[in-house]
Amino acid sequence: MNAEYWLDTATEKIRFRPDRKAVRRELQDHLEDRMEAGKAKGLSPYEAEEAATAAMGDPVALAEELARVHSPWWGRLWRLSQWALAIAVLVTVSSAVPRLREYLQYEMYDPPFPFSVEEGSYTREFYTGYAKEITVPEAWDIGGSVDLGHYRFTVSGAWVEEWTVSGEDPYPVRQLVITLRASTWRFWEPLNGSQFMILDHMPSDSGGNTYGYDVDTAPGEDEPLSLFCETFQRGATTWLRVELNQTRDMDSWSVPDWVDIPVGCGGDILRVDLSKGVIS
Amino acid sequence: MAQRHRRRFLRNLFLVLIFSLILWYAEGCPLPTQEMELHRWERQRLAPESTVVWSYQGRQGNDRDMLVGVSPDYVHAYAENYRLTLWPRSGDTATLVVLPDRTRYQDKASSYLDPALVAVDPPPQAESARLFLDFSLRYAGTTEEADPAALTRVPAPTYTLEGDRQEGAFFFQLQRQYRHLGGENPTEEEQLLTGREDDIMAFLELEEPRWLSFSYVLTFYDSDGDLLETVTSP
Amino acid sequence: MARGDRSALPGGTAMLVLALLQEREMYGYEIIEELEKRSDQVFQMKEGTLYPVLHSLEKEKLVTARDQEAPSGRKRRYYRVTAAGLQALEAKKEEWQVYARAVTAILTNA
Repeated sequence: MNAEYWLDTATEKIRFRPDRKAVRRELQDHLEDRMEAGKAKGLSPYEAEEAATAAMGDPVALAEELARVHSPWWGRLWRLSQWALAIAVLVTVSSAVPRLREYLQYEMYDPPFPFSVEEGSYTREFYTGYAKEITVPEAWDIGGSVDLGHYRFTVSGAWVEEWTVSGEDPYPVRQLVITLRASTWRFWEPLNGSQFMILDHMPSDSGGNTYGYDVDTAPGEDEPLSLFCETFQRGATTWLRVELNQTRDMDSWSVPDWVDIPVGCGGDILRVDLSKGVIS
Repeated sequence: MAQRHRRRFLRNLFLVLIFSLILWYAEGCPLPTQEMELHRWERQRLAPESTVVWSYQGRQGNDRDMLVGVSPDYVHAYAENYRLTLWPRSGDTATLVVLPDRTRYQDKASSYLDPALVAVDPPPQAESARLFLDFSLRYAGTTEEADPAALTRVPAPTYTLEGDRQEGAFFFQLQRQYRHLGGENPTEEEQLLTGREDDIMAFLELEEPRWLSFSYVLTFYDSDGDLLETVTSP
Repeated sequence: MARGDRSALPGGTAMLVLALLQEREMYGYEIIEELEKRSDQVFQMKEGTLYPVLHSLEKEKLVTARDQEAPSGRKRRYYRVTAAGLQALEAKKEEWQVYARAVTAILTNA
C-alpha cells in the first residue's frame, strides 16, 4: 500500500485538523523508520514501503480507534476561544485606544485650582492666561474625615484669599476658600461634583451668615452672602472648591469659627471647624 | 493533545475576560439596566435611591431613554447618560417636573423633538389631565422689540396640553405652535413669535430645576369628566 | 487482557508499554522494537495499533509526551511515564501475577 494513502486513511476520521496533522506526522515518522530499516536490509524502496504499511496494520480499523481517542471537542473549543480572543482584542483596542488618548490629554492638564495653599502669597494662573496675585493671610490644616454614601470626605485645604479686582474702580476682595476632597474605592462611580450643592439648603456659618448662588456683590443686612463652587475630578477622586463671601464689604465679615456645608440632597451637612477638624 | 487544547482554551477564556473588563471600563463602566444607571447617578449625587414610576424609550436615536422616580422628598428625572434632575416633591398633591431631555412625537407626516413634562402622584381615580402653561411673566417687563406694541398684537406665550396617562403618571408633550413661521420673509410679529418660542424651548430643556419656574395650572379629571384636583405653580 | 482490549488501563499492550517506559522515555518505533526484542519475537503486534494505546495513556495522564528534533531532522515524539502511570503499572502487575499464578496452579494440577 502506498504510504501516503495509508497515512491518510488511518487519520481521516480524526475530526479536528491540527490533531489529525499531528497524529499523521507521528505515524509518518514511524513508517519512515520502518522503511529505512527495510532498505537497510536490502529491500527496494517500493518493497520497503509495502512491508512497512503491511507491518503497520489495517488503516481503516486504526482510523476508528484513533478517532475514538482524539475527540474534536477540546480542539474546537480552543479554536473558538482563539476567535473570541481576536475579536475581544480588536474591539477593545479600537475603542479603548482613542479613549485612552482622550484621558491622557485630560490628565495632562493641571487642576484648575490649588488644593491647598500656605500662608503668604501666590499667583494663580488660569487657562485663559490670566494671572491673579493672591495674598493668603491665614490658612488652616483641617484633619478628620466624614463618610457619606461610599465617599470619604476630607478637607484638602482651608484658607483666606485676598486680592484686588482690577479695572476702572479697583476694590479689594476677601473670601474664605475651602477645598473638599471626596474619594471612593468604587473607581467607576466618582462623586458628581457639578451637582453637588443644590436645592433648598444653603451653607451657613457660626457668624449667622448664609451663602447663596445668586446674590448681589454688595448684599444687604440679612441677605445671603455669595457662594461659588468649582469642581475637578480625576480618577475616583473629586475635589470641590467652595468660595464663601467674595464681597467688597470686608469690614462686616470676619472669618467664622465653623462653616456648615450641606451636601447632596439628603440633608447631610459637613461642618468644617476651622479650629479643629471635619465633622458631619 | 486534548490537555494542551484545554489549557489554551482556558487561558484564552481568561484573556477574553480581561479584555472585556478593560473594554467595559473604557466605555465608562456601563451597567446592564437603565434603572441601575439611574441609581448610580443618584449615588454620585448623594441623593436617595428612588422608585421608578415612569419610563420612556428613545425612538430614533437622538432622543434618550428616560426614567422618572420618586423618593420621600424628591422626584428624580433622569435622561440616559445625560442628566439627572431633582425636584422637590409635594406631599399631598401631584408634582410636575420638566423632563431633562426632549422627546420625540409625530405631527402629521413628520416627527419632532421638543421638551415634555410629567406629573407624578396624580389622584388615584384620575383618568385625564390638562396642563396650562403660561410664560408671559418671563417676558413681562422686557423690551423685546423696538415696537413694544407688537407684544400686544401677538398672542401670549401660553400652551394648553392634554395629558397622556402612562404607568400611573401623566405625560405632557409640548409642541411648538409657531414652526417655520413666515417662510423666507417673516414679519416682525412672526419673528417675535418664533424667537420667543425658541427661547421657551431652550429654557425648558436646559435649565436646572432651581431656576426653572413658570406659571402653570394642572388639572385632573375622573372618568366622568369631573374635576378631581387642581395644582398651580407656587 | 484480551487481545482486542486496548482501553487505557487493563493489561494487554498498555501494561507492557508502561513497563517499558519505566526505564526511559521512548518514541513509538523504539517501543515496538523493544517489545519485539525482549519478548523474543513473541509479541509482534500490528505496529499501528500501538498508537491508540499511547494516545489513550496520554489522555489518561499516565504518560506525557514531548516533541524533540532528532539530529537527522526528524521530529520524534517521546513518551515518558508519570507517577500516576507507575502506580497504575504496579496495580496491573499485581493483577497479572494473581492471574498467572491461578493459571499455573490449574495447569500443574491438571
